[in-house]
Amino acid sequence: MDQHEIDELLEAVWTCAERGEHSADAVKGRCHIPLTPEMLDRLDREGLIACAGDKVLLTRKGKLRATVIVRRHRLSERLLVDLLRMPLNKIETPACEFEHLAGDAVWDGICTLLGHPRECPHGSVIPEGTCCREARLTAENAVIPLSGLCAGASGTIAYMRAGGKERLQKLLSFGFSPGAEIKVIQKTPVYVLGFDHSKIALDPCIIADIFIWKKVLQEIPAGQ
Amino acid sequence: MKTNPTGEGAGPIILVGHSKTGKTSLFSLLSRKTGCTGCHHGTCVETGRGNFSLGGKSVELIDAPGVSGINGESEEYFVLRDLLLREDPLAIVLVGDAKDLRRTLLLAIELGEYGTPAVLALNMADESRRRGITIDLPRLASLLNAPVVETTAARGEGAEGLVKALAGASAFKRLSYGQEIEEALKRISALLSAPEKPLTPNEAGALRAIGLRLLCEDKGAEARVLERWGRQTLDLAAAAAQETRKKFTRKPGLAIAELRAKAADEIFKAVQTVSAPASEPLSERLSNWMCRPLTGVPIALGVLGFLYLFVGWFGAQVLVGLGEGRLFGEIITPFCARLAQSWPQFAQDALIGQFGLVSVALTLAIGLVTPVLATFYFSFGLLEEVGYIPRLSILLNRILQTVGLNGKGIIPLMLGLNCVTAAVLSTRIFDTKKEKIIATLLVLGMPCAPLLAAILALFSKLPVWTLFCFFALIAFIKILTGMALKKLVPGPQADFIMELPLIRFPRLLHVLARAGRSTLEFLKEALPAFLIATFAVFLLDRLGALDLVRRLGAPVVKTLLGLPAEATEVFIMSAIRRESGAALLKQLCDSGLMGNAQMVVSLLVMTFLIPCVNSLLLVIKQNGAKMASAMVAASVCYAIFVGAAVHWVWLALGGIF
Repeated sequence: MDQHEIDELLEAVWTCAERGEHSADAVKGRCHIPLTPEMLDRLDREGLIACAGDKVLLTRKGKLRATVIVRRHRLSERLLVDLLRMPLNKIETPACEFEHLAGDAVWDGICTLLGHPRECPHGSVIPEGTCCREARLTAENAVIPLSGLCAGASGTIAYMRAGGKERLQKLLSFGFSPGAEIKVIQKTPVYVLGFDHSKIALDPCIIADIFIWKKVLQEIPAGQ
Repeated sequence: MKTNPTGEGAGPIILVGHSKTGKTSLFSLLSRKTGCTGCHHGTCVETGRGNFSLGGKSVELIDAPGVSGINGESEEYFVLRDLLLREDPLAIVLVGDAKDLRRTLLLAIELGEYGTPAVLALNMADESRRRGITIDLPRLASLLNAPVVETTAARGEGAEGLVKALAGASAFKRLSYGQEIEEALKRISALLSAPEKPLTPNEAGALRAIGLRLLCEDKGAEARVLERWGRQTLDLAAAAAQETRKKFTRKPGLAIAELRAKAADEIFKAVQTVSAPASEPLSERLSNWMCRPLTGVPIALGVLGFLYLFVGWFGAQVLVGLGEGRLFGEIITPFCARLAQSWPQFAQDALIGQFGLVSVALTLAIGLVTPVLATFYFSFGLLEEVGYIPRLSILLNRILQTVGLNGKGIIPLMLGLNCVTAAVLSTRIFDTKKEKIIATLLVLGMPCAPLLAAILALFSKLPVWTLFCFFALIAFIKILTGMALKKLVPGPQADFIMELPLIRFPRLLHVLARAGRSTLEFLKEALPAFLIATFAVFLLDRLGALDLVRRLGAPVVKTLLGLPAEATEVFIMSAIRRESGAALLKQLCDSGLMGNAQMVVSLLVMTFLIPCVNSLLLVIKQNGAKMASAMVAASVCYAIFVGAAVHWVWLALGGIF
């Protein structure tokens, strides 16, 4: 029995538990691979599940591992549906293959890319990753294009897209750089940005290349 | 690094810095010589030169034109780099706006690459203090590795400290750009310091800067290496740069620029503290009103109204009435007439005749053009001093984009109303060739201040609306031309990005003095031309050549433009100086030879026809003889076409007004 099969089995136990089903039969029905009593025994021995009579329950250790695999599976589904525009009935097989791709950083990246989705395309909850918790804390601090600020608001430059070498160099020579705080003074007919103590007028088309951390009025205390 | 500046007596000291930081005020303060201050973004091209005493020795002081940076491919950067490399400066003084420390630091870091001993002068220190800004000068000096002083040049403060600091000038701190780039720089430096061509100390200091620019694929740097070191070295150096570039996933130019920005930001954050000002200063609110369409448009109209009242009414009617009517008409000309009574007829005519030196040349130059010009210079200087013109560019950005320029275009166009030559010079603020060509062509057909003065005086007898129609017509023609040029001249539309200087209360005396100086300069330059042009026309008339010229010009002037033959003289004179032609035109109109419509046609033709000699020379210098002759030919055909079109439309409409 390889890691791949253990993952599949744990995933099946998790999805059953989610629906309030704990019987071995139900798990057998949900599992993508043929399930034998020996496999359950082995997981029990490894301390991932606890078998009690007909019931199959996840231990703390098993739950941890199952959460990760379920999260990956459901994120894969979202990725396939949202980004690759695949129909719902065709995503199961590739999602099952994707989920075994290792690396938390990769999955947090995908999760961020997708905007930390809460549910899979089928409506089941996607378990949260660390990236989701961090994003929630800094939700009000998100990076937005400068055009998203209204007149009078200020923000800190997060990054500037390279819209041609000349343009970026020009912006840098005017003092625009990541970390600099700018204030939008007006938006039409051209942007006027307050910058330290100087003012700079620019075309709206240049603004599209500047991204900022939106400034929050109140920091949300961590842990809430 | 070179030896202590006071130790040698060789090179000059160069003042460098962004536009509008008070460089020229500081220059005047140090050299006790007046330069042309208050110039706009890069429009002040002449580098002021003077002397001042440093450690008992006289040292040359150079006032470099304001720049927005030093690394870039547009011309403004080139001028500064050229000064740094060719003048072999003893030291540079980086003049920075104390309120705008971050940008100043960025420039300091860029200048550091040239290795020239330097001092940082934070100017306008009073304004920055008023805004609650405190800068830790000793800390800044140690972070930059060069002396830092505070000055308030406008009030004459800080010069002594600056002179003292110059003794300890040392090159601004150099950044380290990481192993790959540093290695490439070493290789390129080694290539460039080949023994057969010994380097000047400044060149040796600037090798790093040249290497960095080669890495950024800067065409200017490549051209310089080619010129100084030859093709072979350039190829080797370019190959080394290319090899390094391959190691980066993105352009090293950006990485370098970002590192500089980051370093500037770090120093900035370490030395500047701001205690929040009590309230938004009035200047901020004024600035906002000027920039927002809802309030900005009424303000712009108000400014226009002020210009009209002050220049069009006070200057062109009241003062001209006094100057031309009273002073010349009633006092000087009759006096000269009495004086010349006993002279031979020829001399009498030359002095006070139809083309007399006093009755025409002096009367027109001093009585008519000068008063209007002085009021115009004053009001224009006022707008510049306040910092209004860049704000106007915000409101006009869209319109100017339809003619292939952007908001910045307002600067050459406004300057064109002042002096076409200055306006042509100012086209170097544009980054793209396309904008330069369009702006130069548009500016060549601007009525410059002296011509404007004559135009205003001519229109003073007509109702106000005719004057507005005239300007509307010029604007309309300009927009049409611009739209056509936008299509015709190849190249992409350039970005609009521009710094807005502070709104400040104008120093009236300063503006007045400047207007006075400009007017005097005009007289010095134009008066001889006026006299020569008038005398030439007088001689031509006497020799009968004028008739010949009239006959030659007749097909165009009479048939096509519907003007009397005498208009030919107007055009001849305007080829020498435009306003002298306009002034002659006034005489023709006064004597009833020309109707109002004919006057408008003549003025239009003159406005567009030939630029004055100065601007012509400049166009040739900036664009090359070939391009310049094409431009001039285009504008002559164009002038005749516009004049003819207006004439025929006027005829078709049945000859109203």
